[in-house]
Amino acid sequence: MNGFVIGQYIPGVSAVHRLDPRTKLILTIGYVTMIFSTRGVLGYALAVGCVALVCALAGISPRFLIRSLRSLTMLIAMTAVLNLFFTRTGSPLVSIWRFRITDEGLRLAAYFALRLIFLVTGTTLLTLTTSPIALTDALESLMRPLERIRFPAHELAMMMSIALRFIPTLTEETDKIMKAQASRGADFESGSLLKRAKALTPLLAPLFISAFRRAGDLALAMESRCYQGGEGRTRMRELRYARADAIAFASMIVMLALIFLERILIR
Amino acid sequence: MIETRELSHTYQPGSPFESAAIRSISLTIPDGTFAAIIGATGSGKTTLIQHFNGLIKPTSGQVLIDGNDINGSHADKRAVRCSVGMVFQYPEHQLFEETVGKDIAFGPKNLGLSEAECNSRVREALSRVGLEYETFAARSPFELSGGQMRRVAVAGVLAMRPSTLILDEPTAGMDPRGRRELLDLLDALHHQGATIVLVSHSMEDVANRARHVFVLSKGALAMEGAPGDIFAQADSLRALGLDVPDIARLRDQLRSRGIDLPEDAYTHEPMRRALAALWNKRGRIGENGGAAT
Repeated sequence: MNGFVIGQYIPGVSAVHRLDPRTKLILTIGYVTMIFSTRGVLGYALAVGCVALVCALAGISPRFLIRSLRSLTMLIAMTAVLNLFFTRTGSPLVSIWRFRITDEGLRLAAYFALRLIFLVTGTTLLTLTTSPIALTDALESLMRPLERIRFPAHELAMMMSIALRFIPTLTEETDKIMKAQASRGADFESGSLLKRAKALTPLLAPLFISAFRRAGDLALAMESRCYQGGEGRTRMRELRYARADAIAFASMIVMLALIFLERILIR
Repeated sequence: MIETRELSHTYQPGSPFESAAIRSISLTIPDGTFAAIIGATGSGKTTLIQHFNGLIKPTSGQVLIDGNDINGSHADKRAVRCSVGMVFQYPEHQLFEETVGKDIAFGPKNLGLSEAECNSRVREALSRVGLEYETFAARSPFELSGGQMRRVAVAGVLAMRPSTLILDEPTAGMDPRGRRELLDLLDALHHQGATIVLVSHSMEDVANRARHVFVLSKGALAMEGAPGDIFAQADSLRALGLDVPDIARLRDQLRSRGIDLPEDAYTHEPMRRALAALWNKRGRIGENGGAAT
């Protein structure tokens, strides 16, 4: 489990960390819109700028961020290869047997790979600088208007924060049970696929039991502290927009406007 | 024999979460001893013992079992795990089979033993932990009490017949009788020649059972020696977030009032003997001030 960067949070006090989580969430959505709607290089240039700026402000080393991509190398490579070989439009560059690589294919392969890379780095930056609790607070606050149509915003946010809260706990538990069964001679690494799937029972059965036990304990602990759902519940940390948020929003609007202009011009 | 040389382990090296769990630990646990590892929470005890059967790889340094580097290129991890059994903290959380018997047989089966051999090992292991085969083997482990589940989990490790048994706080959360029975079982195994390594927060258990004590502090080996020597240094232990057993504290308090007590009076039996001897001589002490009453 070591070295898995996606979804981790690095506590800090930088300007990026202190930004309102709602701002960061909306900005991330804007960022994703930007890299998915750009038609030329402008979007990617802006994306590089955004990532570099956030890294610098938050004090995250780019090398650490690049590590987050490592677990997705296969996916990115697959996307690129599929685009490269199965794009029929454009003028052919090389043709090998029944496959033909066209300039359009090359362009699409590069674009899709870049999109994935920027998508992952951007969203990783969000989770690296925003605590899961802050993130769910932001979600709840942004979904609040939907409560009028009986959408359970608070419950959904609570479920999310509980799920996020238990990821490290269950990871630790998995690690412990794996080691315990390995001490009894269990082998999780070798053998056929079927054999390896079977070898997972000694891991999964205790893990499920422990997850249910923890869920039961948590429900009891919440009830004994009079948890009754979201109605009338006040919060310890009120979310408030500050000047930094306004600046961030303004820059995002400018960037999106540029992308929109680019779309009109390159047609 | 378990030996570590300059053993260090760092979790998540090269990331912002990097943390050194143990630093340059060199120790030797000879065959047939009853060793205890004590240390405050987070001092690296669990990380250290997980190196002893190759569950985690050292960041630097070596672990040698009977002189062989277990992380070397020719090392057989499974063979190491057969000879060095490991009972984790709250081992009952690792039970998974439908019946107690099948769960205990998991280890022996992984060793590739025959059905008959597995069965006899299950019987033996169950009787060692004080559970009747007839009553328990066919039951589901999940309908047992917490204490019984703990015993079944320990039996699951014993069934592999390890020559060295490492236990990480095996008595945590057990009732007094369960604790005593489990520790008695460890004593019995020790007397039959097994090497026992006990990680514990209970200074009493360590004082009563261990022959050799390792004290960890902030990932380093801070003290090492016979329990008598360790528990004679109450101040150093307290500085490390530990303490001495109640009896040793009583000994130190009585000593500070001028009552002569022997060094080994840190467990019940020597203390009882020493006090009885003083009581028999009380006439003479009475003349000196009567502190013994």
